[in-house]
Amino acid sequence: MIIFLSFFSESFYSILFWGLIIGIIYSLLALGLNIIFGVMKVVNFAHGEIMIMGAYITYFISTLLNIDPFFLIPISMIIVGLLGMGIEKVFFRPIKGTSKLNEIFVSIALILIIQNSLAQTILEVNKEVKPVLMTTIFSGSSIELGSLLLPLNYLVILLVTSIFLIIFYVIIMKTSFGRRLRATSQNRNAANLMGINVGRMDMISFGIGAALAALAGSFFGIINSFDVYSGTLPAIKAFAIIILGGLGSIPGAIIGGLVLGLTENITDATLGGAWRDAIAFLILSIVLIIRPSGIFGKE
Amino acid sequence: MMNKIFGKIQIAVIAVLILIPLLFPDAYYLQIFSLILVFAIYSMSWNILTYSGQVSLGHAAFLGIGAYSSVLLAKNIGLPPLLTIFIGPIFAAVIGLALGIIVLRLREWFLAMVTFGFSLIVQAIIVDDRLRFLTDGWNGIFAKPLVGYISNYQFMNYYIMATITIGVYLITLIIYNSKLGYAFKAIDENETLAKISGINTTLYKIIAFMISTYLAGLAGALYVHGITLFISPEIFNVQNSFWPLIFTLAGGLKTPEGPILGAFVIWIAWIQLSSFAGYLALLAIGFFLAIIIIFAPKGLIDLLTRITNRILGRQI
Repeated sequence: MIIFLSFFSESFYSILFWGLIIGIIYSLLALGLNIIFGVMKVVNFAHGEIMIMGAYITYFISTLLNIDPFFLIPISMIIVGLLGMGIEKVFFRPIKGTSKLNEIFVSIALILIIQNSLAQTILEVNKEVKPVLMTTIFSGSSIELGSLLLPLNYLVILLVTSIFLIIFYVIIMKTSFGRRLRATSQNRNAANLMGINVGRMDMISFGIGAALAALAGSFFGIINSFDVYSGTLPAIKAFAIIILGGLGSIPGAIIGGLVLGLTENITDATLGGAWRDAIAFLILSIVLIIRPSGIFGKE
Repeated sequence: MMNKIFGKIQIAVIAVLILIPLLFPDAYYLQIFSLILVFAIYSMSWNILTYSGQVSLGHAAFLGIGAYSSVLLAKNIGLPPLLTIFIGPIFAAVIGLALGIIVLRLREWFLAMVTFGFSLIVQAIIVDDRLRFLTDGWNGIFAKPLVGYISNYQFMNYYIMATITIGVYLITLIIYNSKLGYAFKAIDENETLAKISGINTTLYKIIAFMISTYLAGLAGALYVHGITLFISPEIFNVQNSFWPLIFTLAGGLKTPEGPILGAFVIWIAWIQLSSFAGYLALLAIGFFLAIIIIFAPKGLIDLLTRITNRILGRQI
């Protein structure tokens, strides 16, 4: 009853707001994973490491050139997108069509490779490996809404994400490229027969997924301090989201991400911090026990 | 059956495990080899589950449950650690039984996800305030040493680990050459076909889960009583769930010797490299793993047998 009553207090709204911001990061990760899955039918467990790579690229350029991280996000997205295409070609293309377990295995090799190459780079540049936080021009300032403090950074993140999602929607739904991508996602063989280069689509979809991860990572580095190991959990949670929201479903990924962000923050406030990371998998396990192929999966 | 089990490779593996302390009588090296053996047992446990066509990305859950049960039994009831390392894992097997039943219908990624999440769920339960009186939350608890503080205790320690490693290795060999192993293999290759051939796939999948989780718990108990002498919820970390996979893949997936060979090669390479290369050591291991997965999916053991056969001029 006490917990229930406190839901209407001011702190409840602040829990909701913070949950929404974390939810955006999950949504972007899940969206990227889902595009890769839709086109390639491959799961990349190393998505979180790609996200952290994006965060570090934004961080390094911004400290090196003294430019605000927000302006560097597109550059980071392009670099990571290109790297993503390379990763697809080197690591995922050779194992395509073999056992599905190989995707998990190669992802874990990739996790080791990305984490340690990042750590080594940081060691060379910074002389020590410790968590870092990006500061922007908006850091420290916030807007007061009643007794609720809304950090300006978070509002900018909300705005930038909305703009990106609209651009993304237009590209996927209205352009001829988007049509080709959706066609490959719906039926690979038919798309191939229609003259679409599905191999190139694989590479591009992986690039887009990686670029979205870089966007998520840059935001992650603005709201949290991060190190090379902070990406693994968010990405695997993002995979839980796309199982729940429907493999290949874009609205499912976005809504699922936001819902998870809110759920985690409410869980943290009621059950305690350790359950924060466990709750996504608890929900996932319960759903999969009832429906082994996911909510929207075919039996 | 005995002839089938004891080929040249098997005798070589056992001989190497027994002879190591005579070749490296240094206490420091013995500690490292004991640690490697713990991870070899852990990897063998993971490998048995994979042999039955199921994959776990959350085996750290059972490593931790076995370890916690053993430490708590030794601490609160006063049983000797040499006994609790075998009793503790029973809890891991019981929980493995429950999870095995729950995930029966799940495959591939879905199974990987649920098992991955399970280790986080167990961690959340262990650090929960209501269990603080037992586990002391994130602070962790001290574990009694496996052998008391006698001189040359590293020797004793190593031979206890080696005996158990050989035991687990023999169990794996017996499973592989028995009806149980054939059933596992049939399920792995085609579950529907296995079912049609009259194999009770449900029963065998659960048996695989129980054997695997018992052995993972045993590895956990050995790890805390024999190596760290301390246990904290850090044992449920993601890395601990990934290690058996890395070792087994490197050595040879679904082969009995693979996990042992992989644990030795990767650990020794890591220790040798990390002294001068820092993070580059794990980076190299990552690349090595990717190369194995892409170009030599049968692992090092397969390469090794092929090379020895080539040298000896034998046809396979």
